[in-house]
Amino acid sequence: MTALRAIISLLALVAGVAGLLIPQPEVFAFSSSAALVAFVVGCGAVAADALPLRRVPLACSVATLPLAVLLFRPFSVAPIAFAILALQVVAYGAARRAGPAVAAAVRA
Amino acid sequence: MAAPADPARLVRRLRIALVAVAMLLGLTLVLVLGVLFYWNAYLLGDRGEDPFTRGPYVVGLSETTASVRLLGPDPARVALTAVAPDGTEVEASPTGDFTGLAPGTRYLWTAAVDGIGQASGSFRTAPDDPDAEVVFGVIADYGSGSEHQYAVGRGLDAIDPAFVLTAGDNSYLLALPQLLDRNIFRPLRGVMGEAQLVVGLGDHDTFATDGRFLVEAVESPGDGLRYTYDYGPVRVVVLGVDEDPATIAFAEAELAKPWDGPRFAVLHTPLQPGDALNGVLKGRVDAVFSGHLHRCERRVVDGVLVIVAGCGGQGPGDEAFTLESGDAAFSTLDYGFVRVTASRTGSAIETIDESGRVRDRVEVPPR
Repeated sequence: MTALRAIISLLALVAGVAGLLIPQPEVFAFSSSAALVAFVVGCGAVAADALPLRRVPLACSVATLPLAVLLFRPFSVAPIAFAILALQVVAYGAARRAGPAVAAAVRA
Repeated sequence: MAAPADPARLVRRLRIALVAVAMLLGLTLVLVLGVLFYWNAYLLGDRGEDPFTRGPYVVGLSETTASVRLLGPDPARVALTAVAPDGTEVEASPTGDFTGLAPGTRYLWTAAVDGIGQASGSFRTAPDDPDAEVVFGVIADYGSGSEHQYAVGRGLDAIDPAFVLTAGDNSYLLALPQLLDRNIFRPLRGVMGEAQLVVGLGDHDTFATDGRFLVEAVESPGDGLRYTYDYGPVRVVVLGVDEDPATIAFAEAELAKPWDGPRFAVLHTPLQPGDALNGVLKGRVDAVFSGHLHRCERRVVDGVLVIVAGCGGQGPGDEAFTLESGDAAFSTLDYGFVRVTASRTGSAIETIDESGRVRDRVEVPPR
C-alpha cells in the first residue's frame, strides 16, 4: 500500500521539519497531530503488509507504531519523525523488490 | 452484492477492507487510550488530598495571641500565617502560636504545606472593650461521630462563635485517643478552625482516663477538670463533672473574685433543687450550662438559670430514661446547640436545633 506509506512519510516529514524549526512546546501541535494520524494509518499499513506477508515492510510498519506513540510528546520530535521517515523508505524499497512475487501470490 | 468475476479484484477489495478495519481499530485504540489518559490524569488525579490528620484547630485566643494546632505533616513543612483586615501579616511560631495581634480583630489564617495552602480559616482575638458583645456556642453530650453531630457542628460554625463551650461527654463511650478524631475533631473541624473549644469534662470523658488525652489535645489548663476561662468581657467558670466538696470550694473561690462582665458556669450534671452548689451560684453567674441529660432544656433551679445543652449529637438512648425535667420551661429531644450573645448590658441564650430553627430564647438581665 504505497498510498499509506506516502501519507506516513509526508506526516513524518512535516513533523521532522517542525521539530527542527519550532521550539517546544509549540511543536506539540504538529507532532501530536502527526502522531495520531501516523498511528492510525500505520495500523492500516501493518494489515496491508501482513496480507500477503512481506516481512521487511511488515517489520517497518510495526516499528512505526511505537515511534508514532513516542512522537506524541513535545520532546525529540525531529529524530523520531526522521526515523519514521527512514522506516517508510526502507519499507518502500523492500516492497518494490518483492512486488512481482507478491502480485503473483495475490493472483494465485 | 454480487461478487466480482475477477478473483484478484476480490482479493484486492478484501485487502482494502482489511486495511480499513485495521485503521479503524487503530483509531479506536487511540480514542480508548485518550479517554483512559484523561480519566487518570485529570479525573482521578491528585486534587490535593488533605495532608492533615487533625485540624488545624484553634486552642487559644486572647487579646493579642492565638494558638493553632495541627497533626499530620512534618511541622518543618508547615507555614501558618494570619492576616488582619488591614493586611498586616503575622507568622506563627513553629509550634503554631501567634503573638502581637490586635484585640477584637478577625484574622484570616492559612496553613501552607510545602508552600501550598492546604487549610484556611479565621479567628477573632478577644476584644479589649469591656462593653463588647461576644457570641459563643454551647454543646454537650455530642461526641458520637453521628450525622446529627456533624449537623450540629455545621450549625455552630454558621453562628461564627468566638469560642465553643462544651458541658461534658465530648467523646463516647470513652475519651480514648483513638476516638478523639472520630468523635470531636472531624465533626467539629469547621468550627474548631475558627473558635477555641473550651472543654468541660463529663463522666464519659473522665472514666478510666481522667480525660487526660482530651485535655492534652485541646490544651485545657491544669487537669482540665476545673478552671476559669476569659474571653474579653466574658468569664466562664468550668466546675467539672458533678457537685462535690472540691467543686463547691472551687466555685466559691472563683466566684468570690470580682467580675463586671457576663459570667457563666459549666457543670456537666445539671443542678437539682436543694443542691448545695445552688446557693454558691445564685446571683453570681448569669447561667449554668450542663449536659448529662440528653435533652436541651431551660430550667430555673433555686434561682439559678440552668441551660441543658445535652442534645449535641449522641441523642437519647431510650426515651424512657431521658425524660423531661418536671420544672423545665423548655425541653426537647431534638438535636441542636445553644447560642449565647453576651454583653455587660445582658445576654440572650437561644437553643437552635440542627435544622437551624430557634427553639427557645431567654433574655438574661445583667447581674
